[in-house]
Amino acid sequence: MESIESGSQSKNWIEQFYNFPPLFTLQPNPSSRKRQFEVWTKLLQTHCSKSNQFIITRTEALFTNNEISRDLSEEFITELFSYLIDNDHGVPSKGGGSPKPKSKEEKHLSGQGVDSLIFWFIPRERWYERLYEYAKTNGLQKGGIATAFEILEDQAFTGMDERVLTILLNGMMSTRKCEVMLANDGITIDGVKFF
Amino acid sequence: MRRRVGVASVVNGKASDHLFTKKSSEIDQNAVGKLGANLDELKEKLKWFASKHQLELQTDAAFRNEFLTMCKSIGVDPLASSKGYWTKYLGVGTYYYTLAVQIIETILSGADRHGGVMLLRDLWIRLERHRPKFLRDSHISFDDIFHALKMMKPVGKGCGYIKTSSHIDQGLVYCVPEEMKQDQTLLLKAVGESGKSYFKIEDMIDTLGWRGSRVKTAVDQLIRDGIAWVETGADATGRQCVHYWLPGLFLNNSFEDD
Repeated sequence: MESIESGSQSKNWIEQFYNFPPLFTLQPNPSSRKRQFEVWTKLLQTHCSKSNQFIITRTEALFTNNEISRDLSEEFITELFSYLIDNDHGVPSKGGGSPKPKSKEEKHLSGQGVDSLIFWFIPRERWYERLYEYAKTNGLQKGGIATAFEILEDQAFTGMDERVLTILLNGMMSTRKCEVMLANDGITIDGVKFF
Repeated sequence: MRRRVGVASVVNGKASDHLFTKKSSEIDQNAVGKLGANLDELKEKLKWFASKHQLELQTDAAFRNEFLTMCKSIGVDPLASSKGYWTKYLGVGTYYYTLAVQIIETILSGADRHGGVMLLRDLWIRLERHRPKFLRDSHISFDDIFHALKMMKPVGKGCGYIKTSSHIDQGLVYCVPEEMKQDQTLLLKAVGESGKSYFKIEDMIDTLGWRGSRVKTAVDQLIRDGIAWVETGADATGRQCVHYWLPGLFLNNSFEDD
């Protein structure tokens, strides 16, 4: 009987899935399709967290697998973006900070017309925690103020730009742990106050 | 000489019939009594044997298999009844019952990947990995897995093994919520026998000698069950073509979920 080691390959199953050709075709069975998007989410999370990549475009390198000569169609990418947006894995990079309200009658796909996505390769809530950690480390948790520039200097937020930070801080306000102070243009963040 | 025809002959015949019946029921009773005594003795002996070799039954795959062969040769199948005497006293039933539960759990835990169909090799690797610590030195054999699958037969047609080649470990073990229909089984077998993890409808029409619609119906069911995935693409000449893939064969499913 063969040994356990000889049966396993070095690749884990999520990496094997990337070389599974049907992963690049939209599956007709709803549960397989859900599974397929979950695999894509995992692949993107692994890929983006390695390089602290926050933006995914329609021409994302991961969407083309040269090894098996397969790539994602435009239709697939729209569906995938919709899945990511609807499941709070990302937001359209040009839309504001708040996710679209979901209504059941709405047939319009949330990924339609979206060219690029801000992707949370770790969950949004974890980013809030990291931001609050930053405040605590710098003694700001009791009404202290930091500028966007100062926050982005910190290693914990490598790869993040002001646009991404703005979306996170606006979202974080609902946890009542911070308050954003806007500049005169009403968009740019002047600073943020932590509680 | 002519046989006598008359009342006396009939009366005589009746009397001897009666005698025969009486004698035969006597013999029957004797035989049943003896058999009962024999069976009791056999039970006692098996019980004694099983309790004496309990440890070997739980830990030694070869011993388990020989024990089952021995039972079979004397017309006893401890696996045929899931409850009652054999399970209670022989312990061997308990072993396979536990293994059966482990097999179901293992296959279902990966079902969102492979739909409940996986290579025997992958299943075996995972079962071995999750063997209880105190049984670490003992191994599960393919025969054990087959016995356990056989034990689940009475429960329905949801679990089974599909042989695809002379390499037993390359066969497919399935465990699905309802039942695996004959055509799906034959289709999976044909794909397994082809040595590939994908197929086209036309390939299977040739291999199985079925009409296209019959193949399509079986394929559609496999897709609905998550056992097959669809790939639409273009072939070398740029013509649109559809391939069906089996993740249970393509992926190495001996891995854990995360």
